[in-house]
Amino acid sequence: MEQILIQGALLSGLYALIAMGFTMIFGVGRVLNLAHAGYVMVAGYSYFWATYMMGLPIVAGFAIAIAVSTGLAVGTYLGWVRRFLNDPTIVFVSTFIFALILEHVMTLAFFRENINVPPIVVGMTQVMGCPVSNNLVAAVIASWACIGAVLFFVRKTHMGRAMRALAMDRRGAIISGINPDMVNLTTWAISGALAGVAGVFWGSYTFLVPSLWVLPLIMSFAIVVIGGLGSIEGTLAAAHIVGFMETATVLAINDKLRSVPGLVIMIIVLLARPKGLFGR
Amino acid sequence: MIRRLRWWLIAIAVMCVLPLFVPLGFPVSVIRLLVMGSYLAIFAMSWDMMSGHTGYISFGHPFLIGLAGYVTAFLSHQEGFQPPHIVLPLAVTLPLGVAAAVGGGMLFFFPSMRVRGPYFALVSLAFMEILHRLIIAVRPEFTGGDRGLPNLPSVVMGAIPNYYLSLGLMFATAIGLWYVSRSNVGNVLKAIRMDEDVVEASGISTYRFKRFAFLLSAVTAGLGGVFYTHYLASINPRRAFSAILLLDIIISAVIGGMGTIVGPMFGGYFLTFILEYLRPYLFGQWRLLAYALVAIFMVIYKPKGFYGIAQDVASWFQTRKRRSAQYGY
Amino acid sequence: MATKLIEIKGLTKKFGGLVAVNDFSFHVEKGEALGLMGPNGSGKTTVFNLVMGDLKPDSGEIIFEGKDITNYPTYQRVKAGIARTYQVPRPFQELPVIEDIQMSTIPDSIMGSFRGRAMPLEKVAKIGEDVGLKEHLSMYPRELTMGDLRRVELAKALATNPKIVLLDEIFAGLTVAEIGELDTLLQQRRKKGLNFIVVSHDLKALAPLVDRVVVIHFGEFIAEGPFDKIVNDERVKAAYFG
Repeated sequence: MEQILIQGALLSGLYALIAMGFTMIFGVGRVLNLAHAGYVMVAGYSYFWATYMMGLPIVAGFAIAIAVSTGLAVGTYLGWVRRFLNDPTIVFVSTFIFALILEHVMTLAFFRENINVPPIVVGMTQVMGCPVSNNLVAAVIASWACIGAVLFFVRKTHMGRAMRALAMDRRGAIISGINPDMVNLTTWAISGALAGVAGVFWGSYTFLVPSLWVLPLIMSFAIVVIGGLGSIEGTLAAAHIVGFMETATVLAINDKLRSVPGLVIMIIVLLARPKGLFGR
Repeated sequence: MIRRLRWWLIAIAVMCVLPLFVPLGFPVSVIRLLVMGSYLAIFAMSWDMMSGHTGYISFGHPFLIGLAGYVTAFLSHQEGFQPPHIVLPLAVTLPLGVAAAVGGGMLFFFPSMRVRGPYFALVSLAFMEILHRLIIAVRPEFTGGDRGLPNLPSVVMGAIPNYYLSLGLMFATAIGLWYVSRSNVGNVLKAIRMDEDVVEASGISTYRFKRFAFLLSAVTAGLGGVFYTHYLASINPRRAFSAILLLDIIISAVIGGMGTIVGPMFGGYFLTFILEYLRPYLFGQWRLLAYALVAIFMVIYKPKGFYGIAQDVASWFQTRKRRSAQYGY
Repeated sequence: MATKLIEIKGLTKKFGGLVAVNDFSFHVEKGEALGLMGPNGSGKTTVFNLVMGDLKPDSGEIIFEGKDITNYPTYQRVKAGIARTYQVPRPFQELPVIEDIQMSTIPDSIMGSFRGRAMPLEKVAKIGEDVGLKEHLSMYPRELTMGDLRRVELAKALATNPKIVLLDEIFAGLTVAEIGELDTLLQQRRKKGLNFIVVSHDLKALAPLVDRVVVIHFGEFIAEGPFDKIVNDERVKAAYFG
């Protein structure tokens, strides 16, 4: 039971990081970036490469992982997505292929085997009378710190307000002097950075493999649908519903069925309340 | 009617004559490639009927194909199961496989159509994942689990009979879907891609037409899926539910020209041959990478595909002819 | 009761905290042309979207020819006999004008569409010519002026064979001559028994066309009556000039 709570908290935090990036891009630009989970996978590998193959300190590994995923996100946007914001289909298909390209590149560089990333923080702590690895605790704290930072940014800063304005009324926001290109770019950069943090912890939570992006993509979409597409608060809540359900399934029923309960909830939500639990 | 079908008749005649050259030295490997090409063409046209026309991108075609394949494979599989189960003849299992594809397709069609936008694609992707998980986790002693089901019975034996079978299916699908695409139904579907609200505002239930397009799409995907599975004589979850098959289908349709049926048909053959002939030059992963890179450039720079290029060329010649008639040069 | 073609009762629509339309009621008599007036952002287009079913109201009823159509989807309202034009024209970019208009005549059934029961092109061309698109029938939307695009909108609405057409800012951005032509055309159609609800800023264009005017301000009903009386109404002046 304690295991479910603690691992569930970690998985939910990671899911929230990934799904928030996904939903922010949709909210501001009205396009879905299917390469998003690919950045998570590449960030995991970057961290592994920097710290274990190059022997750099952990902080540098973090910095490199976040820089790489942010760079990829910004590159995707500036590279071609910017020109196709009015054609979601092209963005959709092209980012999907881009994720596959990332998978192929990582396979060429690191091969198809599972890579176990050693824990970032070593040691164990007692939480509620049950031993927990410090790594897990660090991951939970880090993901919540990032979530808090994003919420603060979106609620309190000028740029955050511009994002919300664009999400609510595109034309109105542009008329009142917001540069949508700049806001989009910032959003993509932030979502890339979030994917970077998630990638580093994902690697040490399970293992790295080039096809790591498919499941996080599907799950973060399920989360976004359950929470309501474009709603950050809804995404947070839904990430925890899905994360805990998945952990419970893995620990209590069958590891191979891990994604099923979240997806079933998504379908139920679509049938019963298509706007999502927290959608307007 | 004959006039409109004459290009099809020529194509059918040419393709039917091809195997006659095998005794004269025409390579059988090309015949085998054409079989694979025919199946990919069926899948690409099936995808095009729904996604290319209406703009509702389906990521669920591996799900439809895999479900149809698994149902017929499971029911016709003859090797020892514990406990033993009834082995049904192919004449029964093939239709059941197609029916499963239609039924399974409706399962993700209805919830995802509650909302417009990109939901359809992602819900269909989710179904692929769910089925994949269920097959490997629930009763693997029945479904074969990760290893899949080997040694399935064949519908017909040998390269050339299989060639004619795939060709028959391909042309039946192609002409049927081509006819739909050129009718008013096709016009409505293409209009849905352009502006769904306006189609609705002209008194047409867009849902009715999308449902019809999806039904056709599921039937053809199921048909292709059951025969493809028996042609390969085995099925396993890794191959059936892979992003690679999905990409092959989408890229065939995109490079051929979305919303044209004929384009995706050509795209299917083209892709099969190009991937095969690249094999000696680029190894494994490099080939896949090169292919994905070309695919992304195709999507970004020429979303009209071969069909669009052919149209541009044709209209260029026509304007030239008209001009020369007008000005006499 | 029987003389009312369409009746809107207590229509309310909120967007988040913003009340776009609040307890708004009006009706159109059979054979009548109604003007819907109000300053920018007063909720006119929202009312149209609610009547067409593009938006779902939070409360209120829409009754058309005695039937409650509040829960009808858009296409059923169109089949019942309501059509609209969009304030910002929305033609199908890849279709020439004549095929665009023909789209509105395709029957809402799969088998019917296969049998080709859309209106034949000669008849479609007639509708196009009626609204003054004779020379533009084979052109694509990107080649047309704003005035012609508005005509395409009107032709598409008329092609659905409606009993009432909602015209959203049909005169905006047109030259005086074009407004005159369009006015004449609409007058002719009215004599044949077509009803209109017209939204317009252009009071001069509105004046000869409508029998009665309803004024909306901040989503609320302000006044109604004949055009001349309304423009001199104190509340309306206050709404327009602050």
